[in-house]
Amino acid sequence: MTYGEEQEAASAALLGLLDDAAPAPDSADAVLALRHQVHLALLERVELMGASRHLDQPKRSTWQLDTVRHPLHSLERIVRALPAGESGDAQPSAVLAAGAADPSVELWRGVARHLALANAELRGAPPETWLQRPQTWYLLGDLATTVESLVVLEERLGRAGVIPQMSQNAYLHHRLAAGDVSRIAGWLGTDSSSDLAYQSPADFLAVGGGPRIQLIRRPEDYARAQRALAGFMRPRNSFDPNQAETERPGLLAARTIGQGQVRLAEVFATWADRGGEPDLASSFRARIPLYVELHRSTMRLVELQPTRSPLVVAQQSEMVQRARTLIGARMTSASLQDLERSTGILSVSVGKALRREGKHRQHLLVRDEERLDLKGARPINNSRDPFVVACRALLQSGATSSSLRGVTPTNRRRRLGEQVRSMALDLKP
Amino acid sequence: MNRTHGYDLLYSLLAFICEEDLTTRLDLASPVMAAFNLIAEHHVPDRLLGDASGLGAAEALDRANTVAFALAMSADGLEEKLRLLRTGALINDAQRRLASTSQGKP
Repeated sequence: MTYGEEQEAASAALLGLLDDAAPAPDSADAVLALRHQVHLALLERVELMGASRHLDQPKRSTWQLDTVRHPLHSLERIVRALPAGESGDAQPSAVLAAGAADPSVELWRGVARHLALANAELRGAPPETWLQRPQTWYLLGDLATTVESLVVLEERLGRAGVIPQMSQNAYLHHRLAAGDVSRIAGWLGTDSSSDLAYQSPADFLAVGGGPRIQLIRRPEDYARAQRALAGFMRPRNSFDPNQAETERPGLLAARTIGQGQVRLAEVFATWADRGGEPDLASSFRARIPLYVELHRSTMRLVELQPTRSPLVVAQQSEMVQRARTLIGARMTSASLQDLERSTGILSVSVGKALRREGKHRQHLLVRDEERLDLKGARPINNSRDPFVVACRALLQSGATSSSLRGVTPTNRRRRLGEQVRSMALDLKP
Repeated sequence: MNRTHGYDLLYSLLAFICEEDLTTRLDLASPVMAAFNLIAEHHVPDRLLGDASGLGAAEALDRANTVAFALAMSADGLEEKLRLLRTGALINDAQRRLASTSQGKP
């Protein structure tokens, strides 16, 4: 299952609960235990999305947070502010696994289980596949709708006397804050590719304790691998203790990616043709001349110090090697769109990283017309230099990537958002 | 043939194909770029040899294949031999692609 499918299932269960009456009195204990698991799953999601890692932490003394600046912390505060209630001491596995006759309990179980499973899918996917800004806003939208739905349900449980009741103003403020985050996420969360994130720990190979190489087992892994490769193009501290320096992309990375991406673009275009997506096939093929030009522009370059870029080489090599065995595969339209988008992200990353190395860091030099070594080599300080032009073309090609269509059904999440926003709050005058 | 000169010539032939022919022959790009990368990772000549330029793709590939084969046959280490044989296989692939498109033309 993917994150999107789990979140859809959680939303379906929440929709059921919103339509449902309060639980039977003898089911209250089970509901409280499951509600506790829902709280834990939401807090886990908040942590997973990096609430404690943000450099811009809100002050504890601030009573009402700015939902634009601190959307994640706003949601965290809402969940933490909800009354604890008596959750018992049952193990999560016992609470989440057992069946019950009361449909209301089953729906709570569905919410808790699918939220926990969605967390597991996100946690098991490489961060590069869902940590881009439009992707995290998309995930925040899901989280905000879920939190707002939970506040509505909590208010009902409070009225039924199952949990301590908060003031009506508190419920109102929580719903407003969650609704604000949800609305902003709707504007900024334009990349739904994180719906395709799934957990598969066996698919990674950590080299020397370093970042994970995405192994390819099926065509759908290519989108993740392209994003992982885009991540490896950014300078990072060396994980190799023998090479105590920052790893930066250089000539080897440029040539390896140039050649590898041309080969992959041919394969991706074949899959797109086979999947009945001629536009995507053209889009994949359109990048071939750009990478050829990048490779060509490196012929007359030399670098100050040879760079090894082991992660880039290993990731690109894994992708090219596996393409031979997977060339006959078929991909769904949604997966092809995700692949096209991740290929666009990679193009941007390659263009940016190499242009920085050449033009700004001046690590790559233009060689003398006669010689290929460092003697007589000069820095790239001309924006019309073929290397800079090739990098710029790649950078610009990423912007043409189309948006995803129908990656994973979102109708239940959308319906949940509409329904929870339309639910009146029982405000006393 | 002097091995260093052989490597210089092979590098230069592949570099000139990349520079002069690939923009119009994108179908050759993948194998030629891969062959060049294999050689460039282990050997960078002081200068490009002028007699490797202006040959046309077919002629340059033919010469590169001959040089790669000769270097592979005289290689001492297994790793180097395998690398050169792989380079030769990639050049063969490019030649096949070139031949198939030439035959397809009226």
